[in-house]
Amino acid sequence: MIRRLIEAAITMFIAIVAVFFMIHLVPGDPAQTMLGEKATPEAIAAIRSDLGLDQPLLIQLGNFFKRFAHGDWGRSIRSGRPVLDELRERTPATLELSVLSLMISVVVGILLGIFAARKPGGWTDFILGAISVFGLSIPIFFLGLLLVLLFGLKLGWFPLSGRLSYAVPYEPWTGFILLDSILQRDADLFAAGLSHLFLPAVTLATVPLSLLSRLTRSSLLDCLKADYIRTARAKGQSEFLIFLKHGLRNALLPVITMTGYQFGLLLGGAILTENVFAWPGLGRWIVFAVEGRDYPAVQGAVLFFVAGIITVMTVTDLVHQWVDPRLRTSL
Amino acid sequence: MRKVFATFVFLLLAAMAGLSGCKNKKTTVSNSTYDRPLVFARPSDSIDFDLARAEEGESITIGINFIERLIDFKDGSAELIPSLATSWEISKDGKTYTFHLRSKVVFHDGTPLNADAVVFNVERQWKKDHPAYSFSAPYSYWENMGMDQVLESVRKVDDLTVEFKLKYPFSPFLSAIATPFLSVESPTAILKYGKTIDQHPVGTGPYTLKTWKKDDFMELEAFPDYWGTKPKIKRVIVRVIPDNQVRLLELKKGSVHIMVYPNLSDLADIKNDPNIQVLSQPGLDIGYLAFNLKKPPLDKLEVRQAISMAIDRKRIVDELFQGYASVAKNMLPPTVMGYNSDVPQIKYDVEKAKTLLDKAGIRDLSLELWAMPVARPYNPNAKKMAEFIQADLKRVGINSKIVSYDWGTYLDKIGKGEGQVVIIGWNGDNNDPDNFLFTVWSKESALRTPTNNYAFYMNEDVNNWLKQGRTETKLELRADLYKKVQMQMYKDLPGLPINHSVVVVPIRKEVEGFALMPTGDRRFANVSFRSSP
Repeated sequence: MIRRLIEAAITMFIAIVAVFFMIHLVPGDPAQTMLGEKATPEAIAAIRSDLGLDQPLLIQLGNFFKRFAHGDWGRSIRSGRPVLDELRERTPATLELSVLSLMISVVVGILLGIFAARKPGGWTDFILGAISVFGLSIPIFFLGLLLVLLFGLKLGWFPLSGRLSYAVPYEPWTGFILLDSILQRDADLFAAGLSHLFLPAVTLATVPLSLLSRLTRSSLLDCLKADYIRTARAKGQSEFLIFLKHGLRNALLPVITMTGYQFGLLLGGAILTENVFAWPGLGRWIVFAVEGRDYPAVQGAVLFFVAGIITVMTVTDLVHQWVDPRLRTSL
Repeated sequence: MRKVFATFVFLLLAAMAGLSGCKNKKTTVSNSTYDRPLVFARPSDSIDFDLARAEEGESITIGINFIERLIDFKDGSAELIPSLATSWEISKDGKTYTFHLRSKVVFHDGTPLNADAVVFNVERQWKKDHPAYSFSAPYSYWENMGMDQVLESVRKVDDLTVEFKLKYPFSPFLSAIATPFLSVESPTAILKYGKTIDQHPVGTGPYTLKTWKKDDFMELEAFPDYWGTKPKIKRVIVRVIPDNQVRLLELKKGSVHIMVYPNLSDLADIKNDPNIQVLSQPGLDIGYLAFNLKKPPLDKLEVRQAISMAIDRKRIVDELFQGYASVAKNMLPPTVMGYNSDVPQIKYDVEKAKTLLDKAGIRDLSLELWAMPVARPYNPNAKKMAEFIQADLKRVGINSKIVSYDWGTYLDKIGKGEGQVVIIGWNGDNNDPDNFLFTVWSKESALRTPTNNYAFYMNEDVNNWLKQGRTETKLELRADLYKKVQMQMYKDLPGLPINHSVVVVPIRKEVEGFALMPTGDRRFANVSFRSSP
């Protein structure tokens, strides 16, 4: 446990150093790049001193760590506001989307995997396999547009884009719309939030869902061939219990690990999904930051994502140990 | 495992039970077009509503609905009209500007508009010891317009009269006063909000900012105590929808009424939609080729003329801009004061270009054609444009190599004179010819490093006219100076004007009164729905 935390801290340290050097690896003068064709010599000098680019490299690195430790992640060039504030405003939208997508992909993915594994080589298996390949290979923004066109415009079942219509009154408590709607006992808000969330969540879930269903299938098939399954059968246990207790529980171990990794992937996919669905989250903010060459913002976003992924990985490891008693003793 | 599952089911049931007992909100439906919200969609959000320092377009073009200035532009044009000032006088020597303020105007927070408020808004950008200076510093517009060098003093004459004294006559001053950075915001609000004033615009405008969900939407509400014609629509929703196609689909569905920045390739489809019309207007920009006069043989006029005649700019406009641009002949957009329509257009003429090269004794010429790496309103794809030009030049026997760097390096290198034939352009900060011509083509600019004068063009006559243009206060005389500049630049050809972009805005046909402004401002005060929705 402690070793795991030390590892996480070291990873974070390396990430900070890497992010610090990012701004120095940009070809050309970062100040000039940020200002564009209207850069005046004075404005360039102002930005350089603002970012501390005129100081020796090691001192810059030291200052960077000092600021980071004090919760000062710098100010966005584009907006002039603290990067941490901007991140904080947009985090709930992305987290809500990612968590729902993850839930969809875990539940549906595992279920599909189980169905496929029941009769390997059968028709169900074949069709589910084809769907997974489709889900893995279709570009996410294209799928998003298709869903918008079909379910939004043609059928009119869902709103085309946005997180919540301006017509629905909403007083944020936690910033998570679904959670707030439950806390505020507001069914309209819940329905509106969910209808906006549905298409983007499905879009974002396709890749991890396909991966998880394939993984569950193969892992389950491996487990069902194991010796202890034969032993259980010999003991006369019912097929259903064998499947659930001995098969599925063991088969889910790699799936749990993979789910942790998927969370990192989801955050990447969120950038594309948020763009299509006009989702006011971190992903789009990062796109704007990169397009606007807003280095402090990009640095902040990268660190934020790294921290998020390290946290998820650590939690995944802990869950893994909880499910698999063998790992507990090894610590 | 079982316990976790049970807990989960319990929570779910509890949530559902909670929801079933909840209140039902009633939505009121009104037939009045005043109460019907107008939805406007754009690809990115505003970031900064302190117009004194805001530089980014989406902030300024929406911010002008909240915050006004002394002088404004007439709807849909570049003509100056009274706004918070009802009238103004310029002294004979061109050094004193006196503005008479409109009476009984209040800011959104109830603060009355008076001379003190105007002085406050000027001094907070100017005097480093002003209590509000540090809130939004640095004020780059103030600096870029050289206000420190121009302004001698600003003072309150009486409650409704403000007087600006300049150090020397500076005729772009009136344009500067009409530029958003000299907007008048409530001094009370500025002192109240401090550094976060950029998130709380409090002006005298027809709309107030009611809610702002970052990167999502903002809600503008009509200001009941507005001094001018009251807005025809109570609520305007400004949405952010980054994907151009999704934005268009929302427009088609009718959930959005006005959208900006469509894909040019979608326009044919948009035009077939019976519910949508497409408004268009020339943009306030110029895309051009700069010939670096320090790099032989570009110092020879015949070579520059030959290159200019060899390039088929009509084809570039048709294919690269899908027709949504116009071929330029001046370095000034046609909507700007002083545009010289008498300047002849350089004709596309391959044979004449070859003859000119022969006359100059140039054979086997190889050039570097510099293409910028980023898309700009005046040039969506410079590398593609470079390929067109490369093919055209080949036809007259000039070999060219396309050179490109990342944006920062590109600007740095061309700004230091390393470029040869350079693809670049300019977006106007305001409607003043000085902003297009002096800032880029003056000797002063050429002598700075990095410069904007990528051709290193230093014609003494042109430079004198440009300097006179800054001090001449008579509009016609000023316009004549700029006309002379353009004619001389046509003769000297330090650069080839390529195109002005065309701004296209698809809107629903039930919406009327939306005027496209040369500055790109989105004004909602005069927009309304046709009576039957």
